[in-house]
Amino acid sequence: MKHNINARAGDRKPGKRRENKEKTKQAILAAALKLFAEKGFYKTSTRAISRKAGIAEGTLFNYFETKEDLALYFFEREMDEVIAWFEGNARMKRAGLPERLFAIIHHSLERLEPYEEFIGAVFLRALAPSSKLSPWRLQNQERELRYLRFIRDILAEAESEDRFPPVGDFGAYAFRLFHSAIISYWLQDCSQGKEQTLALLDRCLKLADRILRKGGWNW
Amino acid sequence: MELVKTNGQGGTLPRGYRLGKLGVGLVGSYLGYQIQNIFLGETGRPQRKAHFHKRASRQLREELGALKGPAMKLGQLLSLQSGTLSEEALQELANLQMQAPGMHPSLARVQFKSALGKYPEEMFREFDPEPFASASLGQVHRAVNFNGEKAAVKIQYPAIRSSIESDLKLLRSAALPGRVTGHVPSALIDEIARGLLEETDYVREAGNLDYFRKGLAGLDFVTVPRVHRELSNDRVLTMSYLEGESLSDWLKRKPSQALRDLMGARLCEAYETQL
Repeated sequence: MKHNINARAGDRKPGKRRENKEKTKQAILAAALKLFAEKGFYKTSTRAISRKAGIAEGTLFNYFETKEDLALYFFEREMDEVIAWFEGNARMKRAGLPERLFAIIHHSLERLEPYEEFIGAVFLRALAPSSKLSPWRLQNQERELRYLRFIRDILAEAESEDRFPPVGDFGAYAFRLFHSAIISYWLQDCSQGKEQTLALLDRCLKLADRILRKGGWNW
Repeated sequence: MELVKTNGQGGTLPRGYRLGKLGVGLVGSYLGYQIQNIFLGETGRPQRKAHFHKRASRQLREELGALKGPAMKLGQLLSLQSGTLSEEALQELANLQMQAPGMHPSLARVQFKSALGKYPEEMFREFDPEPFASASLGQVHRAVNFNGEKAAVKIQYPAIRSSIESDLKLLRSAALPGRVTGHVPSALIDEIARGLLEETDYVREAGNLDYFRKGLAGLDFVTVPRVHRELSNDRVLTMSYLEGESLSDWLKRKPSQALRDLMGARLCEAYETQL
C-alpha cells in the first residue's frame, strides 16, 4: 500500500494536510497490526512495518517514535470507536445499566480479539513506570479522562433513572479498573469461545448493580 | 442475604462457605430445640418439633436453591427419599428447580456466537432478542430460519459446565465424613455428577429428542420437535417451534368431560408406549 505522505502543492489548507497525515498514520497502524497478528509485537521491527506500509523507515519515525507510540495510537482509536459504536447503537438506549456496561467491555474485547498477543505484550510493558504506555503518565491522562467521562455519563444517566445511588467519579474509576482486570482475565481465558470471561463479566456487573441498588451493607 | 441468593454462583470458596453456614445454622437451631425441650412439658414437644422441622427445611431449601447445581440436585434426590426425611422437609425440597441466571439480550447474543461462531442474526432470518421461556440451564428464544420455519432456540448460560464441575469437587470434599461412615455412598455423588453433566450437553438432548420422535412415531397425536442440527451444538439447541398450551392452562379453561377423557386416554397411551 503506497501512500503519498507529502501534501501536494495544491492543497495548502491545514485541514487537508491534517487529513492526509491522519490517513498515513492509519495506514501505518493497519500495516503494524497485520504484522503484530502474524509475528507478534516483540518480533515485529519498525523496518518491517514501514516496508509493509510502503514508506521509508525514517518517515515512520516522524509519525511514531517507537512501537509504544503506535500502541498508544491504536488504543486511542479503539476507544473512539467503542464510544461511537455505543452512541450509535439504538439497542443500548433501551438496555439496563449492567447490559450497557457489559456491551461496552464485550465490544472492546471483540475488537481486540485478533491482536491478543499484542495486547498481552502492551499490558506487560505498561506495568513499567518508565514506559510510555504507563497509565500514570501525564500524557496518557487525556485519553484516560475521555474514557472516564464517557463512563461517568452512563452512570449518571442510571442515577437519574431508578434507585441507583450517586457513585460520582469514583464509579467511573472503579469501572476503569474493572475493565483492565477483565482484559487480563480474558487474555488468560482458554475456555471454548472465552465463555468463562462472559460468565465472569456478566456476574460481576449484575452483582455490583445489585449491591449499589440494594445497599451493599444490607446483607 | 438476598444479594448472594440470586448471584450465588461464585467460586468454590464462597459456595463452600454457604454449605458450611448451612450446616452450622441447622446444628445451631437443632441445639436450640433440644435445650428448649428440657423446659417444655410433654404437650409442647411435638408442636415445637414440627416447628423446628419446618424452619430447618425451609432454610435447607433456600440455601440449596441459592447454590444451584449439584447441591440442589442433592436436595432434589433427597426429596425423593421418602422415609428418611420428615414430611415438611420433603415438601420444601420438592420446590427446588434448577435455574440458571437470566441472560440479557446482549449476553444471549454473544453466548450464541461463542457456541456457534456466528451471531444469531447471521444464522436466522428473524431472532427475538427477548427470551419467551427459561430453561433450567439457560433460556429459549423464538426465531425464524432462512427457510421460513419457526424455531425455538435454547441457549445455555456461559460456563455452566465448569461451574458444575467445581461444585462437584466441593460436594465430594463436603461429603467426605458421610462417605467414610457410608451414609453418602460415592455412587450417589457419581450419579449426581453424571446426571448434571449430561444435562449440560445439548448434543445429547438432541439425540434424546430424535429417540423419542422415532419411538412415538406410531402415535399420530404426538408431535416431538425436530432438531436443526446445523444450528445446534453442545450449548445451543435449535428445535422446530410448536404452538401449544400446558396441561394446567388447558384445564383452567374447563374443557368438557369427553375431551378430558380423551386427553387422559391419550396420555396413558403415550406413557405406555414409552414404557
